[in-house]
Amino acid sequence: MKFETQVLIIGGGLTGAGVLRDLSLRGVSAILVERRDINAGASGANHGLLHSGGRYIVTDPASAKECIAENAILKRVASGCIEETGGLFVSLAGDDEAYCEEFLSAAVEHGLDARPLAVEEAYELEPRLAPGVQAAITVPDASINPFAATIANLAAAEACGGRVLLHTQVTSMRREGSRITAVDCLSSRTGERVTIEAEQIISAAGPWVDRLAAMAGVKIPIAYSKGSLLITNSRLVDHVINRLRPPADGDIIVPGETVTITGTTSIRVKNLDHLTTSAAEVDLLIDSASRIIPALDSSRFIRVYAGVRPLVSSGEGGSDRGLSRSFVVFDHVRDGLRNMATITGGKLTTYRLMAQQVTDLVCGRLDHDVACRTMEVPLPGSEEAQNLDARGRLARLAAPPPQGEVLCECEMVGRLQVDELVEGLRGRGHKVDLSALRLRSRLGMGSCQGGFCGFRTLGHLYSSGVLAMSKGNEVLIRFLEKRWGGIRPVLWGDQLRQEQLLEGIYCGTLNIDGDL
Amino acid sequence: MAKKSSATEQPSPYDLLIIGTGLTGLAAARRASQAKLSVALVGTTPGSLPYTSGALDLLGVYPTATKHFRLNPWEAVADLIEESPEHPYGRVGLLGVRDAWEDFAAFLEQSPLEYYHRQDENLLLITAAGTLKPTHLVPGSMKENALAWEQRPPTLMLGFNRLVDFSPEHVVAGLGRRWSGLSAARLDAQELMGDQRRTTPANLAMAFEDPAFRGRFVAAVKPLLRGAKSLGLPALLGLVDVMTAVRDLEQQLGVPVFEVPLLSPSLPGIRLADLLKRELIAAGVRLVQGTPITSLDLSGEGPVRAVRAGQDQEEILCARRVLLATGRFFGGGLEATRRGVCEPLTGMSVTSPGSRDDWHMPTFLGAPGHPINRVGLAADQRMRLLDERGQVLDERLRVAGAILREHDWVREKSGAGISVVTGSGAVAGLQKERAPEET
Repeated sequence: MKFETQVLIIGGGLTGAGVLRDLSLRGVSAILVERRDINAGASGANHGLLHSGGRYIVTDPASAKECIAENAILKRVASGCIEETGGLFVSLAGDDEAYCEEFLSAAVEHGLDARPLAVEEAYELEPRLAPGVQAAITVPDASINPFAATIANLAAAEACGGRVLLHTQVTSMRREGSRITAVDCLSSRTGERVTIEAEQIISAAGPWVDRLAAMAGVKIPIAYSKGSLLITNSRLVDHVINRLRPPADGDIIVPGETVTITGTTSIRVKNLDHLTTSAAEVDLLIDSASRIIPALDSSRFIRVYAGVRPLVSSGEGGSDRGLSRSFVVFDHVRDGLRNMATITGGKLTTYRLMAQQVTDLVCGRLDHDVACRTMEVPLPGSEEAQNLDARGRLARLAAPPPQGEVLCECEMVGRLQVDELVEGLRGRGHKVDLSALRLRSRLGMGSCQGGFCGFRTLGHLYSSGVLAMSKGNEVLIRFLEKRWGGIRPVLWGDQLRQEQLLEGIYCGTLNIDGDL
Repeated sequence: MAKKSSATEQPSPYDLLIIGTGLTGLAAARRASQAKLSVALVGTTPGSLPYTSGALDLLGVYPTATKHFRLNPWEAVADLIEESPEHPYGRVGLLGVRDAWEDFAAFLEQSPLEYYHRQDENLLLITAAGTLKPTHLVPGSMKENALAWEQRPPTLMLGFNRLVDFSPEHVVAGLGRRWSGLSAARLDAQELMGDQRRTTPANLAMAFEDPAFRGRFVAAVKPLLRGAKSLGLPALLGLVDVMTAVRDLEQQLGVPVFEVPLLSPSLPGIRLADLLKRELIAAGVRLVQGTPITSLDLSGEGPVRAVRAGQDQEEILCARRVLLATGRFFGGGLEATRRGVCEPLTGMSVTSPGSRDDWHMPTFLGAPGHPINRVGLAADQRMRLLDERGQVLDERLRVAGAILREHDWVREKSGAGISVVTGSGAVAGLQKERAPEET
């Protein structure tokens, strides 16, 4: 299969999706290819935190300023994906008192809406805070659902003619002199070869940008920093909570719909494709976060996940926490390549700005003089400012629209929602399996981690003729094994009991592990 | 012989307090009441049987490292005992295993659930996932299920609209490649139930106990059979009495009818638990469910004093012997924290693989099985609880069932066997020590 387009975007994370939407809004034809499914890299493995800028205000003011601006923009145009939780920075006994002063004066300098809070008020807002809070500051942090954000960006782009090819991996680039003339891909879904001829190419492949650049004969110096996060099975806080000190491991706690997410670590890794989280890393995260919210120490954790931050390294030495979290646009003209650009680094919060900058660059090369509109046009589902507080969002979760039989009891996903998702996936030519449904709903996100709902949903996919009978239990086994990587590091207490129940059912009752 | 404790409301201590109402506790209580011991059986929950298929495994896979299915369970048990004497079967010994299992099988075959087995052969049960599961002793309602694979007659798997727990198409997806005569169809149960009841497992199970419903069901199924010589249905053919429905359906349809086990909660497991509990209550066993034993007082030499957290107030239960049949992590017999594993009633720490990184394998379903599944309590031949040095911890404490170490019942397909055999083994151990006392 062969496509011609003005711009090819490589990478189906939030940045790539943002670029596709930006180009589509400007009337540029574009195709996005992603080797797996949406948000397969860091876009799907982060806190879901819409930074206010507070975290970087002292140590990395450039990043902080980007966050301050984007936080305000996204609350306007992406309100459907955002819960305006507000954020608290709290210092505990032993934390440097001077940091609080530095924080507040930097906030004034850079325009961050940060206000000191009486300690009693902090406890009123967050009763689970550890005793001994020394100082507290409120900031406009929020939580953002990165899957909803990517899906909304892709849907908006598709509505303007943008095209998305998932499970399509770039295998090589044909370079002639200073241009890439064609990009060869392979669809892992159909086994088909896909060739794309594009005037311009944008690589938004997160930590994989160096591999893609190498295919074009270009070197990008990059380091990989793994960050692990933990999810509890309940919502323990209503605000994003940060430690009021220079950024360190395990000191951000974010409420996300019905759960709490805590992290992260920062560990250099070499292998991007098999990220694991050790027991020691889990313990470090829990010990660190439970200093702020002691209830985390005895909480039930349902999952661990890890993402890789692409760090564009300036040299050796120093800690990765000290490296800027800002993003980088590589204009490969300086490498003698005139039709390719790479965007990487940055944060979830700045995805729109990153997309804007690289789109500006590419539109300049295309002599396409149309201005960016993503700062003013709302995403689908965000047309009306929602501004639902925690109670409003939880009420909406608790009273879902009529959905037919419940397939996922933990997260109340119904048959009709699954049917609608299946139709959407099929209509776009995407792969339909349990993982694809999970990414687009909350199926399998709860305590059973897909053990029960995966089985039921598979049954439904067979009953409704969506899946070919020849697939047998492959789909289910692949799904269970995929979930396993994130379940395995948190198996003690109640989550181990849950695992033992599922193992009892899948191996003991169903012999799905057998080869009969 | 034992010193009487002044603090107890009981006139005399029980001979045996069994903690845990899973299959282990129930089987042990049955053996103990047969041996004329006075028995109290206390469980925090209704026990783990509702989470099982109701089909009872002895040993289906050995060695687990090669996932080797064994047609003859007794040869497999003999190999296992020889190679793994620390396995619970090794503790009980081949003869003990055989006696206890065959006794239990004979009892269930005579029961209203009409269990079925072949002495020297494992059966292959068709499951809701379209897999084959080796097992040894099946409820009568699954007899034709366990025999179907041998001949593979034209068979219809029938499901119900809106019943998400059973997809007949999923069964066909699993087995259809090797069974050309297997087909799937579905009915709308709501219409057949003829009222506003929703299609839930409980409503369907109640409906199948009603002859009028069965009549309407038969009329609706007949045109769907299209030459099928056998009919598979989700395991919902009655809450308590299932064989009446099975026989009635078979008679009216003229083909064998069988149940296919579902995920939990499972009616065949509940039926079995209910049967055993009725039997025990009739035999005079005191059965208390829903309130946990919170502590054991092992001081002194007399009866053990167990505290039961009641609805309103605590009760002290005194017993000469206590059997821990509390299960593994799921049942609450073992507790795991980030720091390690312990047995909560004795506070014993349980040896586990050094780091949590080593508790589980990188794959969920791979061989040979997760190392954490082999940790547990140690026992001697009489099922006396042993401490870390292998010494009897306390003459009064016995242990049986899944809580024991050195087995992996989910991979071995040996769960029911370990429960029944070690539960019975613990009672046999008590009888051995009583015999000389009485003479």
